[in-house]
Amino acid sequence: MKTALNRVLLRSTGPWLWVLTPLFLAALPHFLRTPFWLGLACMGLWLLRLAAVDRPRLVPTRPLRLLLAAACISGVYASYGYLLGPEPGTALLLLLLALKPLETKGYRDQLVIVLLTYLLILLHFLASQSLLAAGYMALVIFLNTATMFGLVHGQSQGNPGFRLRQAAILLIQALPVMLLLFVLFPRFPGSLWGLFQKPQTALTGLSETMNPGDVSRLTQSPEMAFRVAFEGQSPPASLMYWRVLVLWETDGRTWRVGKSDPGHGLWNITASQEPIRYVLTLEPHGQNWLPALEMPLEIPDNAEPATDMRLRLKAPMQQRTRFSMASALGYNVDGLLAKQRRRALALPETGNALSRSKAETWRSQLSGDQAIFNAALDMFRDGSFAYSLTPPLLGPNAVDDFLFKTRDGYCEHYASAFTFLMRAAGIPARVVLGYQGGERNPLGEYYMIRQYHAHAWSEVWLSGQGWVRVDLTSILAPERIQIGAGALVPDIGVPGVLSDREIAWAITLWRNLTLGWDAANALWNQWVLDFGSERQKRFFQRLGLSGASRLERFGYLLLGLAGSCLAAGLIYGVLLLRARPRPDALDTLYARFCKRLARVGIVRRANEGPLDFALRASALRADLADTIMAVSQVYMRQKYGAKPETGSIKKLGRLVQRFRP
Amino acid sequence: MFLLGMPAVYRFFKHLASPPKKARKQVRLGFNRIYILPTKAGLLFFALLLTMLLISINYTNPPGYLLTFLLTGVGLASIFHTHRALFGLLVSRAPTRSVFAGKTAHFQVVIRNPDPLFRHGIRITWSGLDQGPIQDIASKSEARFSLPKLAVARGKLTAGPIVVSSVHPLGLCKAWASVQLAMSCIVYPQPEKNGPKWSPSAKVSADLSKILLESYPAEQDGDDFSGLRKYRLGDPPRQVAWKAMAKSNTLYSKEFSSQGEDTVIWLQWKDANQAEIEATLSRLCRWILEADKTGHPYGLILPNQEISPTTGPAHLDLCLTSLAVFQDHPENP
Repeated sequence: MKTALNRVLLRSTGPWLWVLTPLFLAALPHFLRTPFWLGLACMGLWLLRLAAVDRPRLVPTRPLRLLLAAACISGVYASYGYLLGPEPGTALLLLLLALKPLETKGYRDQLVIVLLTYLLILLHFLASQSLLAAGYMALVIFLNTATMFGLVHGQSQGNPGFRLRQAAILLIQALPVMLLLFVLFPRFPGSLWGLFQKPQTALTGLSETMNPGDVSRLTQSPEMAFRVAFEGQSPPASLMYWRVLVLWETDGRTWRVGKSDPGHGLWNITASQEPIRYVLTLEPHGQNWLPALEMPLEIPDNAEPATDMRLRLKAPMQQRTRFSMASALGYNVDGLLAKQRRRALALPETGNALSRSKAETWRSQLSGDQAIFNAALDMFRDGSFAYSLTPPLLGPNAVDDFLFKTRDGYCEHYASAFTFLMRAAGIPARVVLGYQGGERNPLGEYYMIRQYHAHAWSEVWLSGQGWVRVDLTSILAPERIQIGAGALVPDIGVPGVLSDREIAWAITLWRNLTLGWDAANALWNQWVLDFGSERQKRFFQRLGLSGASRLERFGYLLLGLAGSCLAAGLIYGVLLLRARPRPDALDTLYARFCKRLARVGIVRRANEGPLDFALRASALRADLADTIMAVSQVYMRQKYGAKPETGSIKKLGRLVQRFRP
Repeated sequence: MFLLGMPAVYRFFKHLASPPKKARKQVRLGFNRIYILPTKAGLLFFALLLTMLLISINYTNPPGYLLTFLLTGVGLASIFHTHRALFGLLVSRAPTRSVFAGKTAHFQVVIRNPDPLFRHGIRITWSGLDQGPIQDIASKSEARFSLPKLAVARGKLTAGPIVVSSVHPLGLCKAWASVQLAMSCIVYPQPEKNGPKWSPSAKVSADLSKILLESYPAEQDGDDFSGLRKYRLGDPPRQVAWKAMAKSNTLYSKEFSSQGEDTVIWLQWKDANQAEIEATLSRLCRWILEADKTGHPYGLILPNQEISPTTGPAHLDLCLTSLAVFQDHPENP
């Protein structure tokens, strides 16, 4: 394997393979976003480059290259409609890097390609900042650095292991500098010019309308919605109701947020328990909502309260943000304004006649809202209702169809039907859309709330109790609440191939791997992606530095740089001193022996080996011959022998010590 | 990178102002000799870092910052590696082969690496030039570099200052040390293309030698009298050609050859004498080379020097060297 690799790299295409491999790997994720033709063009040109190493005729002539370049630019313009901006810019850079190799003459041009490959890597980070992207690109950076090393050292250093080792040494030594600069380099909120900002579109997640089937579609997605780290004891997952949107308006089938009050209506919540504090890290979703454990007691800086006790962001969410929040699980909400009451009772003029008549029966037979409420709950508890992820389709009178025909549905069917019934019976009610539960990550001590935790439930106004949460799912399918909808997705079994135990083991392993991966992602988010202006300020404050003004922050940077340069210089100096060649003990002893012989007139000639010298000296001084031969033999055996013996240095020392000619 | 480069820039200019160092046999490259400056590639790399930093700031991109700062660290670390590539090397010289004028002399520079560290891409150039041989030097070993220089005129060609440099590991900066080694090369005169052959005469005029041959019949242990040469201090009195002295007022010594068949070639300044000294030397040079090819012993007589006849490469070198370093003397005939 290794020799095969060496053979490939030592061929005439070797240098180009070194240059093009990191370039190709860096370009690969770009190709997933750029137009199809661009990736094909780049790869074609690179292959042409490799083919042309041994067949120089294949290199296009200069006019042809210019024509190609013009074609590429117009192609990018045709695909994007503009040229200035990160995306067409990246496309142009890719094409430049595809054409450049064809006109390369030597070191300088190859260096430009290698340097621009780094830029290509950076441009990928503009599109994806995930840990996966960073890890992948770290590998590409490593390869590219090895290429850069090889450019200087030429063919003689073609050995890939050697190059990679040198690149690894350089990169490891660069890590402290990277950390220092990353922490100290001043960050400021906002961008430099605000130029080239790409417009964000709404991403996945909850939308402001709810049709039957909407939420169950979300439950197929394991995508992360937000993460929550509790301060102190975390509440049980069955009590984690994350309120996101409140749906007031319905046409009997679809529920909408409607024209909710834009006012900053502060609500009146009486907490009956200690508030729960937590830090919520929200993934960007391009919308205004901010989830909160019911009921939120404090409002973060960049959010505002809406009258229906949910939080609204002041600007659409474009990047991952952390919120410090507090909520009460036991609460009492007071005061229902007349306007709200009217909205909470509004129903379409017609439709769902069966349901309406059922509600009117309750209203005429039972006294009081509480009794009607209980009767409605009893109706769902009678056992004929089923909980399913794949309910049958419903007709135009969706509530009637569901309550009296199919009786099979998912959370939004129950929330929708129950709210409808309550309104028809004259009890104010609304649908709440949000997330329920959370998956605990033991590796990071936090909860992950994914899209498949999306949920819908009802809230009913009962005088004296205020808004009361009614979640029929918790009554009909308590396991959904306990373990989350994700677990309900049917497993694709492989009968007869793997035993149940093996499957269980594989699932556990997979689960642990994914948990570990998510914990790493959370750390990455927390320590790298969120390290902005605010975090840096807090970091400085924790060190006892104010870090308020720009000047100060640049000062810290300069101080840190100067200090580390000094430290690096010192370390280097100490290493140099320690690496100074020290005379070998063996050579020192032999030199002393020679010096003693020289004192009596027997001087070792420059061209005389130890054996020749010993023979000559023995002949001159027959009385000393034994010692001279012994010393020389020990020295020669130790110095040139295949197997140096232990203790010979000591022996030589004794001999030389006693040698007094 | 530039922050670290500044002291080097300062020392560089100081270095330019200082008088050239004395030529030495061996030079150790230490802190006081090694200078570092970014190369063109380094400047390009710096421009790239700036671009990447601006992009990272504009898009508030943390992985972008990480990448930019990682590459900054690589650049900084490479400065130390570059310095270490030269530090501690011992630069010395080996004898240079003599050449004829108009040919290229190859100066031999020996660089010894006394450390266990492998040295990459050590380049040697003449001061002021870019090109030169480049070699790796393994740990505790040495490498020999050959530096060509055109030998224009005969005489002693002294090597100018040489520059030992390296751009290891990434070519972003270049460390160099200027070294003046005591290194020279003998340049023989350019041999004449064609011209007359040397005169077969002995070194004394024909008539005189005839008299002498008559006056000194075979004697001296049966050795044949083969000619006369100028008296040298230490010649025994019985060897002095008294009769010749009486005729010419100069002391001559008689020479005898024990093997009669040997032809001794005498190459004399006065036979080759031309209007120009250099032309004379060129002719003598050709004669020496031709005489060397005949295999007979040959001797050389210059106005201020005489080399007794013999053969062999050492003799050839001695003769040519005496031509190379010939100084025009006032008593030149």
